Amino acid sequence: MDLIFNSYVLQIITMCSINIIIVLGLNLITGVTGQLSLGHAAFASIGAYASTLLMLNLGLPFFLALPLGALVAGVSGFFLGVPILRLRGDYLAIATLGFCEIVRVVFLNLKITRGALGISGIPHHTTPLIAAVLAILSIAFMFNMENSRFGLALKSIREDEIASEMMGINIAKYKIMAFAIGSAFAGLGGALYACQITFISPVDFGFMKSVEQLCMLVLGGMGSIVGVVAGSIILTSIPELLRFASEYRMVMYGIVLIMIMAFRPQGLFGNIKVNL
Amino acid sequence: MILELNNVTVRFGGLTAVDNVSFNVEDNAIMSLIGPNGAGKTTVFNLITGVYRPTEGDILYKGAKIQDKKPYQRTRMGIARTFQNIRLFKQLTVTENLILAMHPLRNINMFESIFRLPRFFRERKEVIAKAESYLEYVNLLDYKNERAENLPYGKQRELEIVRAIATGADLLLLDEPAAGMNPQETTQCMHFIKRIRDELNKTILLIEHDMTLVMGISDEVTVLDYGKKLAEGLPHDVQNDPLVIEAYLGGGVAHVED
Ligand SMILES: Nc1ncnc2c1ncn2[C@@H]1O[C@H](COP(=O)(O)OP(=O)(O)O)[C@@H](O)[C@H]1O
Ligand SMILES: [Mg+2]
Repeated sequence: MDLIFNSYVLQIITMCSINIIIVLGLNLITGVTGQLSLGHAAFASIGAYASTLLMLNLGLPFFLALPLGALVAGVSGFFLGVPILRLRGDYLAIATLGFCEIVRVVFLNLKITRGALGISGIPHHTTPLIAAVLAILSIAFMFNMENSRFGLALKSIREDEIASEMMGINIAKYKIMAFAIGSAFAGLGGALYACQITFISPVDFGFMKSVEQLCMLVLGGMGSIVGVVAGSIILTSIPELLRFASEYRMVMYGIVLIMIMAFRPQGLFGNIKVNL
Repeated sequence: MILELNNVTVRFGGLTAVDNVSFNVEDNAIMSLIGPNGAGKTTVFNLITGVYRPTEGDILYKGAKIQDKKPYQRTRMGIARTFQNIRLFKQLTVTENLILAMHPLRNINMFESIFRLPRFFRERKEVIAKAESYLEYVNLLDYKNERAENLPYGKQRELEIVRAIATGADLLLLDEPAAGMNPQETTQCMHFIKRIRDELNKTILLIEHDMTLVMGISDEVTVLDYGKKLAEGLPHDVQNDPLVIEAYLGGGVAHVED
C-alpha cells in the first residue's frame, strides 16, 4: 500500500515538474512579453515527437534526445514567430490556435508518427528526480533571464510596444526570441512527458491542452514565476488526486477560472495586468 | 541643421494628413509646431520617428535620409520622443523605465546575465547608478522604486521626458508636454524644457497648445493647418500673422500676451 502510494505521489511530482517547465515557457511568451498564445501545446508535441523519433529511429540516447527535442521545438517557435509577429490580441490568439491544429493534423497524418495510433513503447527515462531537477534549473534560468537586459526589454513590449520601439528596442527580434525560447521550454516538457507516459498520440496535445496550460498560468498569475509553479502544481495534482471525478475535470477548470477572474484577476501570485 | 523635412506628404486613404510640408530645425534650437487640433502635428512626429512612412518627400537627420529606417534605428541615431497620451511602461518601476531607455547603450549579453557572471553585477550597478543620476537631475529620485503608474500626472510627464533624454538622443520631440497642466505647472514645465536645452545641449521640437509656453521658449514656430504649413518664423511674427489668427478662429493666438 505504502509502495503504491509513494509511486503515485512520485508520478504526480513528475507531472507537476513537467507542467512547470511547459508553463514557464508560456509565461515567457504571454506573461512576460504579453503575446497571447493558444498554441503552446503544439510545441510540447513537437518536442515529444522529435525526441521520441530521435530515440526510436536513430537510437539517440535520452540525454541527447531531450535537449534536441527542445531545440526542434524552439526552432519551430522561431519560424512561427516570424509570420505572426505583427498580429495582436484576438488575431494572434487565432493564429497560434490555428498553428496548434496544423501541427496536430500533421502528426495525425504522417507515417513516421504512426498517425492516430500514436507511438507506444517509448523508453521510460523520465524519473521524478530528473524532472524535478530540470524544473528547478528552468526556474532559475527563467528568473535570471527575466531580470536581465533581455527580460526587461520583453516586459517593455508587454507594457507598450510603441514606446518600447522608441527606446531603440528591436521589438520584432525580441518577440521572435521570446517565442523561440518559450517554445523550447514547451518542447523540453513535451520530451519529458513522452518518456514518462511512454506513449504519445496527437490527441494528447490538442487545443484543450493549450487551454489547460493557459489556465495554469492565469490561476498562478501571469508574469509570476511563483505563480507558474503554484498554478501548475494545483491544476496538475487536483485532477490526479480526484481521479474518480475525471469527467468533471474541464468543469472544474471552468469554475476555477471564473472564480479567479471574479475575485483575483491577476492570479494567485501575480501582481500585474496583461492587456492581451 | 539637425533635422530637415523636404516636401513631406502622408496620406491615410483619402485623407492627406500632412501635405507637402517642409521645415528645418537648427542645432540646439527650441522649435514649436503649433496648429489647431487635427492639423497633423502628431502625424509629423510619427513621420520623424518612423511610426509612419511618408507617401512623398524626404526626412533628413544630421544630413542623412532616414525615411527608410525603422523606428528603433532612428532612436539609436539620436531621435527620441514623448507622446501626447503618456506612454510610460506603467507597471515597471521608474528606474526600470530609465534603464530601458539605455537599452541600446548597454553592453551585457544574455550568457553573462543568465549565469550571473561578475560582469552582470557590475553592469547592473552601473546602469542603476546612471538611471539614478538622471532621476536626480529632474528631482524624481524619491520615486525611483515606484511603479510609473503610481506617479502624479505631472511627474509622469517629467519621467517621460527624462526617459527620452536617457536614450542619449540629441533631438527630443515633445508632444504637448504641458497638456492637462495648470498655469503654474505649465511655467515649471517651460523652465524645465529650457533647462534641458541649455544644460544638456539638446535640440527640441515641441508640439504645444499653450501659447504662453510656446511664445516663452521658442526660437522658431511653425504653424500647421489641415496638414499644410501655414506660416513659420519668429514667435512674435507668427503670432501676428493674419493667416494664423484666422486659422485659430477669431484670433485666439493674438489675444495671448507675450
Ligand atoms: N493612422 C491614421 N489613420 C488615419 N487617419 C489618421 C491617422 N493618424 C492621424 N490621422 C488623421 O490625421 C489628422 C491629423 O492628426 P494628428 O496628427 O493627430 O493631429 P494633431 O496632432 O495636429 O492634433 C487627423 O484628421 C487624424 O484623424
Ligand atoms: Mg496631436
